[in-house]
Amino acid sequence: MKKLLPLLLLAIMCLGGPPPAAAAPPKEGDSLPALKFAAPAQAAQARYLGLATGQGQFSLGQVKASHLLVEVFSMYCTFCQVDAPQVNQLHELIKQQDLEGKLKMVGLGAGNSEYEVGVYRKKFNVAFPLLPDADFSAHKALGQPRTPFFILLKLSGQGAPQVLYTHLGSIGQAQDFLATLKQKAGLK
Amino acid sequence: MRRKLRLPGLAAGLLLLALPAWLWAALPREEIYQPGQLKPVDSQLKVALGQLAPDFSLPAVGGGRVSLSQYRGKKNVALSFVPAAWTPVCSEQWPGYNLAREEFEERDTIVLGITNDNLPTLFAWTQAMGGVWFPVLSDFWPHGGVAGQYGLLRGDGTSERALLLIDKAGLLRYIDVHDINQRPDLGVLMAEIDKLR
Repeated sequence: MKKLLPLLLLAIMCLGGPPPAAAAPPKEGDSLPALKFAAPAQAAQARYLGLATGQGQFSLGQVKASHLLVEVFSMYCTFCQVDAPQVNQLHELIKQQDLEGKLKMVGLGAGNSEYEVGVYRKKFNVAFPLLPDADFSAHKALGQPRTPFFILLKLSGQGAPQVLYTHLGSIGQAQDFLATLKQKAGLK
Repeated sequence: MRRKLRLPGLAAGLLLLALPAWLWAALPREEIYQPGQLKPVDSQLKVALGQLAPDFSLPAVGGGRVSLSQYRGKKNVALSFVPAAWTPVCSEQWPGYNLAREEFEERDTIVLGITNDNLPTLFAWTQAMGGVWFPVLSDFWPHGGVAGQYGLLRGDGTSERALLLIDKAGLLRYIDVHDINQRPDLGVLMAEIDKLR
């Protein structure tokens, strides 16, 4: 039995147990831990992320864009609620400036169930995908940042996404925040 | 040990109130008072599903008193007991219910928020949240009287984190004495309210 134990542990890891908890939130230059999410049920949102129809799970690296902005938020976070209109405006500006093919956005609902991210989506009319993280597993793997927390990632297909920039708290003016993102990502 | 936890909590709360919201959002975790992992449940429930919910009348943050029986025949009532103002999980739970106002109203349900804190503390705490749409009631004196009546008073004088759903006939239809360390999933409560339709 003792000989089988390491094999058993390896099998459990290969089957996709929760990613390990990180000691601190990611910072510029880090690689993002491997995180898997259920593909959004809404077809338009799956299309936005460039996921195949019927794809069950996906990792952030599979999103079809060169860069991805992740907002770690919670329906229960008053600061996220107050900031939601600016974040929506940021998403709109990305579209208006024809950057959507290069820079996409997702929200990660720390401790939020599908229902709870749905309440947030409906209340603020959020157009970009919001992913539930009901058991906080992704939040823990990201070092449990306070919310809202923004992570700008450079995506490179199968490799681990690289952290280009992080920001804690309100984004302030959407236009200024987008300028910062473009500068960090080298986008014109 | 438990007695020591309450004063630093109040001091941390006052400190947070004095800071602008953007700074609060950016405070490092280690500067926010954290009660640590508590015993998940520390009381013996005294009510049961199907029974008439014990009536009560408590002072409300907005002034006056609110009684459970005033909603009889008019609205379903979601009683949300939370352990204490200015603590991490509680300080998120009610802003979430605040956001979900339409979800409750579509289901003809009022939330009554109850803690064992006094009115000035509840006033300051809910103001810091930006206010809430539902009545917030103080079960401070006699201390935890309603929580005790329902069997939700913990050994340290706080209440459990509990959700009780009472239908328009005044009957208890759902009871969740939740692990105090965790926030209940709102979707579960809404599904229970939907069963009352």
